[in-house]
Amino acid sequence: MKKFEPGTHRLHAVSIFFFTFKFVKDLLYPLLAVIISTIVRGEINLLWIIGGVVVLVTGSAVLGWLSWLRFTYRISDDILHVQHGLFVRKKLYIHRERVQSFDMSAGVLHRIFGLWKVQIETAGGSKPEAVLSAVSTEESERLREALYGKGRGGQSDPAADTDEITSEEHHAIGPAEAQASGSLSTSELLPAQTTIQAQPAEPLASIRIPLRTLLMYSVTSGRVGIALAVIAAAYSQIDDWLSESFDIWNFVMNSLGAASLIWVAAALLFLVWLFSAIMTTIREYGFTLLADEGKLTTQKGLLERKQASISLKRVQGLHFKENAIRRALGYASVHVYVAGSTEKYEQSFLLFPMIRRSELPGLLEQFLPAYQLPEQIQGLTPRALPSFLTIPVLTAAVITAAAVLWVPDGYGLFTIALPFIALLWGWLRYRQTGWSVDDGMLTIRHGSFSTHHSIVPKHRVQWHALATNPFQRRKQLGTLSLALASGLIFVQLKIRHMPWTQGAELMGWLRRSSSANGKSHTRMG
Amino acid sequence: MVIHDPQQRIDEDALKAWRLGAWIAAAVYTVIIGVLIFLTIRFDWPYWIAGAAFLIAAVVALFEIAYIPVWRWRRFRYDVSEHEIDLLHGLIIRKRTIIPMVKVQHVDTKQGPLLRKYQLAAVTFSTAAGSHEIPALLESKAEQVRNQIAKLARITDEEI
Repeated sequence: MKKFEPGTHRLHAVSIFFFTFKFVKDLLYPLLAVIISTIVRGEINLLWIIGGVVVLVTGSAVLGWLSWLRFTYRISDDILHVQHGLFVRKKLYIHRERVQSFDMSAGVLHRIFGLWKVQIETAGGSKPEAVLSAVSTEESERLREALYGKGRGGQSDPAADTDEITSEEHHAIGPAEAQASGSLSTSELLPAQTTIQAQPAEPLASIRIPLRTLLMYSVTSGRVGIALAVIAAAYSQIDDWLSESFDIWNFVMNSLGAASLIWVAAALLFLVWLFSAIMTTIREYGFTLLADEGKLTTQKGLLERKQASISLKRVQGLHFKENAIRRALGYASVHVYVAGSTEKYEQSFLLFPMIRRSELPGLLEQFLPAYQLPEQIQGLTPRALPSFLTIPVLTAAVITAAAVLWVPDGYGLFTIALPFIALLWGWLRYRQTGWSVDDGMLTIRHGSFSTHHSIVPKHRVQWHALATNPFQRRKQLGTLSLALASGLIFVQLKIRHMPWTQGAELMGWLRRSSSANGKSHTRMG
Repeated sequence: MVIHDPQQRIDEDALKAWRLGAWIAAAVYTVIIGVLIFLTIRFDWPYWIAGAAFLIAAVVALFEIAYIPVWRWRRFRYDVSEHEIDLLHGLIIRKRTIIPMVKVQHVDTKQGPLLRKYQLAAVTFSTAAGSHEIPALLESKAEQVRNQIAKLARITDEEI
């Protein structure tokens, strides 16, 4: 065996299990094929099958053990060296400066042993560059410190902190409580902020979602809203049918079938809703946002703990999302657009799942001081309204007309609501669209039933365009779009049907900024 | 606020290249309609299917050959300045696109067989949020524009 260089490490021995599991998974399909073929041929030989499984598992375990033995890493001069590979020896070098994200997660098995899975990504990579499947908490901290700036500090043992509803939580929601109780005086807001800054641990600031808010978040997540609406609709139907059925006994017998069918459907939907709410609660449990020097870190999870970090340098914009139900409750979620690959292929990074609108300024001040929700949003002129209504309403009307004409037994009449929904949708979109310019930041509001605010620093705009179609030209309107790098691809934010002159003005503003952005760099010319 | 439109045009030979492309497309339509006519006769399909397809193809081909290249050529303008690349394009939806020079990450010339036939090339440049192109310039001009952009867009900062 080769001599170990000093500082060379192996993963925690639990990794053997993960490597083994991977081999088992890879070999499972060939094995299943063999087993099924023996069954099909009617030559079921129990000995062969059990023997096969035993060989597979022991073989995988040996290979897993060898893989673990061959997987070594060390850090020297700010470079992570990883060597791995069973047959083909692979070497990987990642320089600290190239590290873009350092994510940690801990599944149930990890947590039993107090371990973390570490994923390190660099620019341009679509998959995590380096995956250390199990390292101890101290080791993960050491790696993080060496490769991803200052360690976060105060890292609690992943196996021990699930039920920790800390005093920190109460401090963090201080502003919310002050405002929830109806007193909005600034004097009550101040102590809360100082408390947060006086955290004993190293993070500059941290905020943890209270359980109550998390539950509210879970039951109001998107799909759930739809399920609820369907259940409500079904319930009103059942109610009608039941009240009718009390009069005529015969009718009960007939309608019972239909009614119970709807009950079953409603119960199923309810279960789906309950299930998704429970899953969301488990996944997002104890959601905590921490601020470090130049970094934001989120931690979450009841069973599987996840920790993801983003560098502030890569934040391209803020996305403040209020879905209809949450807006009614006064809550919203905060996302950021982050360039490069962040959480898998998601477009925006969830910074905080649920926050009172009134709490947002405090949160931004601590975690993203450059961003502010503007007080006033410039809306559209009424002459833009037809542009929002015409196409949806016409489309819906055509569908309705076709359905009424051709769907038999008058079921097509159900579609009569469609044009009205389209009308409402278009009108809401018209009402929601707006923008605000303030000190190098552009805020775009859009949405229909939900409200979205996207706040973008002008120098983050990758390109912008002002487009006009013939209808818009007649009314001197235009659609301004701007592109931001986000996730692995990009997002286009649009202000639809804004007055053309104002669009041109915004464009001029964006152009000025783009040249101003270049002036800090020396440039030949 | 007055925005001055960009002034540079793409090469006039672009018309020839696009027209040739449109002729090729028309040939493909002809084949499809031939197949449709065959199917109509062979399986007694109603005549209006082939008839409608023929009409649509004829109108589309006419526009693609006679009008769209001219309109497209007339509409497309570009400018490359020290700070930005400025594009004006689009027949029905007119679009003015500004790409700040500092955001350009990569610039390239590219040439399909049609463009090559007329010694033309397209200049494509990408940002962290998608790419854009100037569709048809003379090869020498395309190279000059590419080098100009590459020089101006020298990536000086790692930040996106």
